[in-house]
Amino acid sequence: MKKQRTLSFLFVALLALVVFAACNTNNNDNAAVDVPDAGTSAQDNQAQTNDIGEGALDTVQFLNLALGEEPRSIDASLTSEAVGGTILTNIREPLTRIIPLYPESGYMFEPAGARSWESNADGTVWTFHLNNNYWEDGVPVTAHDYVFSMRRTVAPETGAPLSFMLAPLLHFDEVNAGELPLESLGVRAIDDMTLEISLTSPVPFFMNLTTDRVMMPQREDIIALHGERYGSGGEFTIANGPFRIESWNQQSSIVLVRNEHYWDSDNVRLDTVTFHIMTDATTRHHAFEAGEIDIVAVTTRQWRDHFYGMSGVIPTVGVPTQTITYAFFNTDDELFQNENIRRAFMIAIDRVELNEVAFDGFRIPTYGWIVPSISVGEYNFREHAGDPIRELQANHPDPRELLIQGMQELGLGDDPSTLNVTFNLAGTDEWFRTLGEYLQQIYSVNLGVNMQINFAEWGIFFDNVQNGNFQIGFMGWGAFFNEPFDVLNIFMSETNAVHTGWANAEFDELINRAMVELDEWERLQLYIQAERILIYDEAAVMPLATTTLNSFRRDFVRGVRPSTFGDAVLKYHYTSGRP
Amino acid sequence: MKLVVYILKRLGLMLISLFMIVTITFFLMRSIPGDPLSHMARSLPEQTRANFMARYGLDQPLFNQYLIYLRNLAQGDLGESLAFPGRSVTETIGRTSPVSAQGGGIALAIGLVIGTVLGIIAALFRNRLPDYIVMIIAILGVTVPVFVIAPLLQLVFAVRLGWLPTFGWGTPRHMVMPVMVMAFLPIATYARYMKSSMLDTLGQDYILTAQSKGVSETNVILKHALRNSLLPAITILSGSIVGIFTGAFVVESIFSIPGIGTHFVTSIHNNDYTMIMGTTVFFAVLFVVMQFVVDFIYVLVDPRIKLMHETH
Amino acid sequence: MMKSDIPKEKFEIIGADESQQELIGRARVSYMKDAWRRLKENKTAMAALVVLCFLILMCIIGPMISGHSFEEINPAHRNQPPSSEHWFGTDRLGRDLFTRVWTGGRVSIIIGVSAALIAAVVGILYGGICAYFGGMVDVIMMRILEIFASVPSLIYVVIFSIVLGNANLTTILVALCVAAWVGPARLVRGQMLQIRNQEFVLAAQALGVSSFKIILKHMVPNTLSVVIVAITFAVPGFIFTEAFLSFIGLGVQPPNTSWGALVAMAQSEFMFFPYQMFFPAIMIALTMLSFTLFGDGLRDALDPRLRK
Repeated sequence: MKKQRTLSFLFVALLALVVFAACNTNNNDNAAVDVPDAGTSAQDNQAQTNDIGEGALDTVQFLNLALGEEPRSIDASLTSEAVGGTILTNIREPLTRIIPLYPESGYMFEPAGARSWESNADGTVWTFHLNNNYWEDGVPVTAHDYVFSMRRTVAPETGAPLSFMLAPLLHFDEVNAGELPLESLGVRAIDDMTLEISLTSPVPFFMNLTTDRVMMPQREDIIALHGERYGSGGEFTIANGPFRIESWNQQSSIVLVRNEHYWDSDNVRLDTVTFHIMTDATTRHHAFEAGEIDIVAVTTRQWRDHFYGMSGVIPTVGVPTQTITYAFFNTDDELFQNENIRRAFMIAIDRVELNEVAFDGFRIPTYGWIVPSISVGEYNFREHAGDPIRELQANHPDPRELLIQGMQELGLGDDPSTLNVTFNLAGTDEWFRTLGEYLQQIYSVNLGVNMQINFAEWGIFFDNVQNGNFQIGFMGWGAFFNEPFDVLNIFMSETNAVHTGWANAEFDELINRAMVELDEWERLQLYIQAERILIYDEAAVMPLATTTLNSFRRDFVRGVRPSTFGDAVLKYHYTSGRP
Repeated sequence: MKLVVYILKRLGLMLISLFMIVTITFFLMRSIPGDPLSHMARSLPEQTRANFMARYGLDQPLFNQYLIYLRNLAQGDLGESLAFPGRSVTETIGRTSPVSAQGGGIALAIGLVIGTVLGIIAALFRNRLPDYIVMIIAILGVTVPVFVIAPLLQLVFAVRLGWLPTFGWGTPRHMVMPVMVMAFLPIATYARYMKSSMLDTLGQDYILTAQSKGVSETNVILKHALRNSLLPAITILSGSIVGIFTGAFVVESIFSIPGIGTHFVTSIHNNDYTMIMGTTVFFAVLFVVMQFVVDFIYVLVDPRIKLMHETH
Repeated sequence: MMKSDIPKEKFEIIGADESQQELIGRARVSYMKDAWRRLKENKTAMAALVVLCFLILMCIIGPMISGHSFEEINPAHRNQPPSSEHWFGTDRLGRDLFTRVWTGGRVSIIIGVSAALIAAVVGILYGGICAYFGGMVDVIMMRILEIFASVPSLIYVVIFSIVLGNANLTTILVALCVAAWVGPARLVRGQMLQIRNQEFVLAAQALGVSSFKIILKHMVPNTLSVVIVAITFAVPGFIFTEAFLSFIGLGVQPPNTSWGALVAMAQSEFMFFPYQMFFPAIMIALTMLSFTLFGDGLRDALDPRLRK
């Protein structure tokens, strides 16, 4: 097995959960995707490592899992959701797959679509030698399928929501804008089995991209055959991964079976995987308890404790992710144009209490924009940067004073009870209700303002945010890889990806310098300064907590590879001792 | 001849009604705030956005969109789902409604039979113990929200006893719990309706006549009272049928049943305009047709109703 | 055929006293008084009325007597079972459920009653106009009514809830009433068509009373009994629909709450905290039961055919 350690600069590619998944799924625990255990907690590492490769296999190999919602599409170019990704990673083969190293920490990329790879000296040209893999109809997978797929994702008329993942490719900007033909994109097939990818400049995290859906192959003839229906159902797609879709019953289930044409089919032990589409959280919990599904995600303390008390169940609880839960201000708003008012709102929340009350203790209170697990090289970011929000809270024990100061600066008098503020939440279920009611009460007590909570479905919420028709909004953002740049660059003046309308020349300057700074310590310092401006000085965004993964599985589910990635591939899963 | 004229007239009115419903729903749906593209969650390039809008005809002036919608509708094409690209709304309804119809139909049949029997019992034992018991059962059935009963049943029959599957659809075992939950409403409705209808009939002169003529109590009830009390129950049938479909909103979501109720709730959450509209139009057609059929049956069955009055 | 075997001793000749023939057997009792008397005799209906009064009274004073505010969050007292401090326990934010149940009851009952009243008033006017004018007016208005009636009302409620955006009491009422007036309108029209052909209306017309006044003074009171019964039966329906809206997230918004919202909130964890669901659910059930039983009694009491 070919192992390749990642370069010292980057590391751990993180959740391949994309922006949308982050805002939509992670934020709404009720829609949580019950993917097979994407992580492991300290106490069961041992059990899991022992677990691999041991135990007598059951004669009938199958798994029953739950999907919190139906994938809108499994078109690798068009879907951006976590649920779509869960299916895709099992039916398609990306260039490589990422697996963790145990017992030592660190990660490696194992061969998948590619059997080996190399790059030129400066890391701008990568060559992949493909495995002898076949589509489920017996047609060989060629380099052309990968080229076609990437071109399709970047083509402007496709409107692929994740096209930006391919931004490191040569001429991405021009091709994506329609200024250059698709053929100019930095990807080509040298021959049927050799793929070459050219980058604009060396990108330390490039290998992480090779595991993502944007680098999965697609068949041109199949897309032409199905046209607009491509990816909308089991019969309108084609597999080349460990599994293929046996049936997709809308709003009911997606059944995967072993793909005999898959290059590594001998190592795939599950014959059938059934994803049941179950939107009701209570039903998912009941179904797990009744033994109808084998793995379940939990979102509340009561269910967690309940399952802890069950025998024959293995917990995977409290695994931190790289997704931050935050609120953000519309800095073009009459009131929130003032940084002192923003700071007052930011520090008025007791993050420990918020986590206990609204998140049921399931998240990690966070006092800066960068989540605790992110590092710059060997330096953990949070350890070195401190906690800007805690510091601000210590310097301003009474947030009300900051608020009044800000009000006076705007000429709004000094009575907070004259302020009417609206907080926008992207959900209407009881999870959001609890959060909203808590925020409403906390702000009226701690700041004395009149707080309205606007609950809306995601579409309406997002429309309001995009049009600047909001004061404070609430969302989640997931990091793609382990580098503060990944989550700080979205605040640069021209990006406005968080829709705050906030712009700061000094911040831009710091990020631009960090991008080219090769010394890790120096780069860390630049990031720290930038985060300080963003949070302590300007409070453009209000970080609240880091999300965690929490799930339980039946103890006969084996071969679960410990990892902190979102990759939900079931290639190595098997059951041993299923009753 | 009268009958043909009546049917034609009713058909014409049905079409006018449907046209108005489609028009109102169309403009209502277009006035909903929210971006149909928002599920893509990313500021798309202008060109992509424009392409997408063009694909769904959203780039046209509102009135043109309306005309296009009407034209497609006439051909049975309700458009393409916005949230699930590539899925036809017509096909989705075609696939999901039989599921709801199956579960709902059984629930309705059970509800009708049990409800009718309970209603008769209540009427015959008016203001005595059986009456009170029946009425309390009937009323409790509708006073506890479905989303309370459903998880309770799951807990008891699936988790604790392990007799039935918690969720899903396909086998008779899957149907037991959802059907039980869905049957509560028709049971209560028909029990109450039959009771009052029966009491009404029992107070009629011809029943008194029969009784005084010495017809046995059983015969009076079976031959005269029951038949004549069942008749008015037909009128609420159309409402019950649609009630089955809408009542399925919650039940189907909870039991993960791939019916039209689950689809409708999902479309609401997804801002799926075309799907919401399509479903609404479907419900309207169903309801209008049901009313027509029920009225028609009623006219045929009840000799007292003259067509002239009906068309008045 | 069986022969009649009614025993002869059941019949008795009591004779006839001609001097008593013109005697009025009892004091003149007004219709309403008579109805009230008959209602009082109906024990079930009266029990229901007492329960209703009690519920309404508790909704008014309940939030004041517990010593807790319905929106006051107490992170230290989350999910507590009923105790002497919190009579109905606390919810997941540590709020006092006793206070919340009665505060929610205000919203639920207000929504139920006002929706039923609005629907009835609109229905009376609409049905009244149809019936009074008849002819083309009637045909056109009935066509419009049929359009409203041809979509299940729940669909209207959902669509209007979405169109109107963030829900508050007004938007929920509007959504609930969009299609709810159809039933009363039909009822009133039918009832009025009967009345229109009666002599006293003709007499009023002959005397030159204006149409509006005839509708208001003669026809409305005469249809009122039917409508009152309809209102009583409609109230629980609206309370229930609001609960459904809360469950799919379109109901009243915080800090306000309703019984439906409380039940929906407790649903996912009812296994662990059954009391959180039990109290609001039992209130919904009691209210619906009482309204229905009271409505039954009222219908019997107001039925002129049963007048003795």
